Amino acid sequence: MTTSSTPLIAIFLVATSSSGTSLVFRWPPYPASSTRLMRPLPYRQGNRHGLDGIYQASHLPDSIEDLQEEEEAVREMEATGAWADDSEDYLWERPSWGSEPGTPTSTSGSTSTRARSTSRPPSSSKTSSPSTKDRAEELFDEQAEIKHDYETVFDFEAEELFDEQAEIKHDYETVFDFDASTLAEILAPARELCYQKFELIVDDLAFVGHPVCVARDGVWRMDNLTAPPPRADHSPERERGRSLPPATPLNGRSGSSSPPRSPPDVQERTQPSQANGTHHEPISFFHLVLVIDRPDPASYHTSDLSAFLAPYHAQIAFKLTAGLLHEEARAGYVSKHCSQLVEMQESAIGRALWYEEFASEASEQGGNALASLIREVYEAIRTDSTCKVKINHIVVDVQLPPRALQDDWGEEREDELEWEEGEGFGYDVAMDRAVYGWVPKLRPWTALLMLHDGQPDGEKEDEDLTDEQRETEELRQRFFSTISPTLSLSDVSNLLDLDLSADVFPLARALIYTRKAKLIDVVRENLKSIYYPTSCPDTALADHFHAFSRRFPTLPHLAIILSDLSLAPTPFASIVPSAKERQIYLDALIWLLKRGLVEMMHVRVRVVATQDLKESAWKERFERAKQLKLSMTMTEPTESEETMSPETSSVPNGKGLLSPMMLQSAHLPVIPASSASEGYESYSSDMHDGFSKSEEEMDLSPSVIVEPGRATRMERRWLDEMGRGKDPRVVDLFERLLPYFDGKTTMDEILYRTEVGRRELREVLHRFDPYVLTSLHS
Amino acid sequence: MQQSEPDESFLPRIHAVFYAVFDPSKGPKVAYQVPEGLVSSRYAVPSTPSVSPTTSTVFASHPNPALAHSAPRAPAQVSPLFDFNDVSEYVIPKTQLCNRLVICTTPRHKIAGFPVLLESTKYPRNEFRFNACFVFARNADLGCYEPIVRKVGRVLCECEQDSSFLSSPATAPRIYPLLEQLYEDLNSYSESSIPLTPHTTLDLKIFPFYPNPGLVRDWDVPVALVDIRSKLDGSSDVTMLRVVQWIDGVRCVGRIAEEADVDLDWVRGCVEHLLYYQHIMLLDLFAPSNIYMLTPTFKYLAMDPIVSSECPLYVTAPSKPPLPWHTLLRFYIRLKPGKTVAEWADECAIGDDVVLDARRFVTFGVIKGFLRRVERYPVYVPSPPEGETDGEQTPAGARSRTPTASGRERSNTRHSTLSRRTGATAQKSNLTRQLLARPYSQSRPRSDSVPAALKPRSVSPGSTGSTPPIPFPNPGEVPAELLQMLDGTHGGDELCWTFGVAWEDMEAWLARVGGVGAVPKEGEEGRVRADLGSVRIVFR
Repeated sequence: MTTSSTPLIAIFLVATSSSGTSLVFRWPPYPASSTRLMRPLPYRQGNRHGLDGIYQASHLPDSIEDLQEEEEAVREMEATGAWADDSEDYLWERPSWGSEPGTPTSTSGSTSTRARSTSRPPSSSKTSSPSTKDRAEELFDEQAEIKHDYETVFDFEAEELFDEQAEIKHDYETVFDFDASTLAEILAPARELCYQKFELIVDDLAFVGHPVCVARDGVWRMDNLTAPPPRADHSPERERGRSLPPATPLNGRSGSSSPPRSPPDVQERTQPSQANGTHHEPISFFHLVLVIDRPDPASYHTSDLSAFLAPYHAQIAFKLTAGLLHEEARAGYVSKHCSQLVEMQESAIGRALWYEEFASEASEQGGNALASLIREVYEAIRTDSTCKVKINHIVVDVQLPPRALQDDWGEEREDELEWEEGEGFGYDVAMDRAVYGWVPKLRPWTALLMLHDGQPDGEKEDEDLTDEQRETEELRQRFFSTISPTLSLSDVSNLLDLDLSADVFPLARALIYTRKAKLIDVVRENLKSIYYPTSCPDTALADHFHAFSRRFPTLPHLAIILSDLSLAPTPFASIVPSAKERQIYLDALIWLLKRGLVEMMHVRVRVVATQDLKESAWKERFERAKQLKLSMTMTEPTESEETMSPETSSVPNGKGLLSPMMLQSAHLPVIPASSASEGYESYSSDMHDGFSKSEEEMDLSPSVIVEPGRATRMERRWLDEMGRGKDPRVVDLFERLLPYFDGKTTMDEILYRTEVGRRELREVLHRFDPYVLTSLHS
Repeated sequence: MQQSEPDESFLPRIHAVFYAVFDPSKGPKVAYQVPEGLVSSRYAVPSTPSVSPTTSTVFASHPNPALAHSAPRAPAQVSPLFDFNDVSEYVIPKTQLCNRLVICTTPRHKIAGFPVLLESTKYPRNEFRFNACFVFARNADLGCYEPIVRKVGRVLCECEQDSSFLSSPATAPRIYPLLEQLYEDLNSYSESSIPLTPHTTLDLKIFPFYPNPGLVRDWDVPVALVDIRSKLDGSSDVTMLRVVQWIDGVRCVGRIAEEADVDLDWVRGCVEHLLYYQHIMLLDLFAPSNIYMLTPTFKYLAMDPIVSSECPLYVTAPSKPPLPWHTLLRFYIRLKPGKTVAEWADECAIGDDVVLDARRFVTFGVIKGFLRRVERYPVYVPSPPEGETDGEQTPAGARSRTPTASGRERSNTRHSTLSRRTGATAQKSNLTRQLLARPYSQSRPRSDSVPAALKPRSVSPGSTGSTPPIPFPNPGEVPAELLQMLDGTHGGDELCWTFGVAWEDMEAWLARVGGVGAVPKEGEEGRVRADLGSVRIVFR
């Protein structure tokens, strides 16, 4: 119920050492999932009225005030007893052991949920957590947490009421109504499930991570991060396939842990580590777990929960685990920090600190590096920003793909995300793809727009650079000073004398990945391109207005600019009053692009065979055929028409010297199996009687040549007819540009690919105007 | 074999069903599974039915012909899907996980179960743990199966409580056919009804999950995607029956409420309901003054064979010969920002030479997604005065100053909008005359039901939440509430609907607010105007 858009509600670190598996650290100290209803509230006033039950059940009012109001009402009803008469609780209560087994529970709050009528008494012996109701209702904010501490006190039995020590212990040992040690064991899967994605869903919580364990010989290694270990040797003593690892040499009690322990037992288990003093004991397993509050299934951004969780695993859990594993293997990083945390926790308990105090102490500067890493990552993800964390010297860049939370993730613009093979990947294609997967496809004719003014701060703090690093740094600096929205990436590579795909693309990709830059169409300095306001409804429009008038006090109001731009698609230059103001308008345009308020419109071209054209092509052909028939009576009657076909008269030999575009149709008769394409049809009918009026050809209504680059035989005739009587230079240009007149290629791409000048292109379009269909859209 | 076959069905396929119990002497074990041999256990005797000598006989005595196509019969040849021991701690979990839905994953599969723990002195260890689990492919979407898994666990638990159905040796062998039927029925028919005890039947039906419907605004037009009426019968909701009659792709939600004489809230509910089941989609309100533009998907869809074959038939009247796609394509390309549909129709001679239903033509593009509405967002911009500070150019400043501005305007330009409108109409094209069925109903009840029709709606994210009911103003007067909505977040449709006028009237109002003549300048009649003095219209 917080304002954050990410459903990540906690990060846990679970580790197994010789003293057993434990939840070494959690952040935030008191995670809570959002409140849910077990059944829809029957009637609500206001705009929520009329929504379906599932929706209401899973979407409590968004503002905290509403929720509090509702809870007030709920409490009041409970207090007055009206509640009992009315119905059962609406708030869904996470089943903890102690509630009746028959209790029907449903996160989706379906109306079929049955009443909690079973009157079995709660089993007394195992009840480990106190009433969970309060917890379920808690809001996740500081105040609520503090309140919670007090409320739990009141919930306790009388004799426990002021037993602060027990209360503190409980504070440390309870997470989400789970016993922390039990939760730790749940999150420590069998060795066979290590080194792979871990995904466990328990009611409304999803646990995602990438557990890793020590090799069977007791040595941490980096190399088995991805490959599951061979499952050949099954240690028979590990009867239940339990997580408990690793028969490490040190591990005396690895096979323990069978029956569920009661909390006192857990307390005992943590004792020995204290005795170890400063010496840290090696861990044999660790698991960085992300706890995610499952979104309501009816509102999945993607169709599938696993796909929804995938970025959390790939971008956060996996990357951090890889870094931690590397350092654990190298320097015992995790072991050291875990035992430090355990010690800190012991001493905190000794000083009667609440878990919250301990956790913030540990995660502050100068506390425990691992704890502060977890906290930092959590906070960055909650605010949907990026963060760089350091694991010793390894810098890990953690972020969620910006679009992971949006509706269109994975649906739209798939073409943009498809990467061409060999398109500027580093050494490891698969890894690049996994990490940079969301970065749009880089094109040589696109440009980078830095989102923040000034030089990217980068890692300038690294003073002690080696020569090689200094060189790289210098390259980076040169790159940063060169890139500009007015320069395409290929221009940048030319200017810096860098290889486009080996140097420029990776740098650009990294910039986009770290959200320092975005990919745009090159801004032409003469502002001749057409820009149009984007359609997305922007509620922060007033802020934009304000910021714009502060940034560009001399320019008209932003609304006037947008209004002028949007009245009709005109070049941006048309709103520039005088040439000397062009620079400031250029800046304004870049400002607008940064905020995504406008987008460039592209002209795309298609080629149309008009009726006139078809008629004249037909006539021409008819004439030729007549002549051909005459000559055929003299010569070989079986000779293919192809060789003498007037349309290919420029090509003396049908087999040898066809232009590339002709190849397909020329080969068609040889491969008759290649479907009844029109080219083949017309060809074969031509074969049988010198001049047939195939249906296709007789249809003189205008048609679009879909792929001029791969024109069929007949389309080729029309294309040739278009060029008839025109300047050969223009016709030649037209032929060069033709493959890109498919309605999909933008002008920028055409100019880049064909190296034809803009003016020449315009000339071609002008000369071929009757046959050209241009469309304008982004 | 199963995991290799592509999952093309709408619902995820169950790869296996198994029933695990906690054996007092052996710990967790798979007691029964269908198909057999798919869940292996490292420590158990390889042939699974160690517990169930009856299993094979049950299997043999009920040869199910339907089984042949899917279930591998020879367990020995089947490679197991996963090892039970890897996941046993999630299948027969710790007490704290019991009675919860638990979904765990193996590298290639998802196992969904509802572990149950029953405590009673009648059991050997005073407790009985079991779990009926469903195995799916790793990438399966289990949203629709979660209630099923819960229910199976719950019902079995109750049967056990009532009659020791699971633990009694007399009835335990019936679990195998139960699993078998679950596996077969749910995979084949997506539903099942299995009598368990004389008093209990396990009834299951899988319902697919749909995403929640989006926001329904009163000026949205529902367009039927299927024949909704054929899906209704005598037992359907009465309101729905009334509402559906008016869903014709022309009337907007608010209009439907009027025509059907149904409470607006209920109509919204009905439309949301239909939207949820994907029977309709919402479009914008079509009017000759609308502006449309192409979207990026045009580059793919322009040559899409489905689009090019459907469109001609959709947009031409049945009695007329359909226009070739090429012609229609040219028409689509001519729809540009800055050009109203009426202007476009004039330009393309629609209604004169070309027989084409402009409304269907435009909605076809919108439905297919290659055309989008360009909406007008009027913004009040204080005229750039000399020596004014930045702060006063914000909309907040605008708001405070607008009433005086409008008051001034109101006094000096009080001439009939209606007469102007008639004049303008006279110049309009055939299409406009055709379409003069006004989108914003003139017949709308104004005095009696205004509070219902105009009560503040959840219009848009930035809407002013508690606007009082707006009485219909005189044609010459600009309602004061309008001025507050000119911050660029309220679209033309919204404004028109809220105040119950057509865009032409709204434009006249805005012109008055902006301090320019309501009548367009010479030669600008019927043209799209963006510059209305202090009011600028942003199209987006």
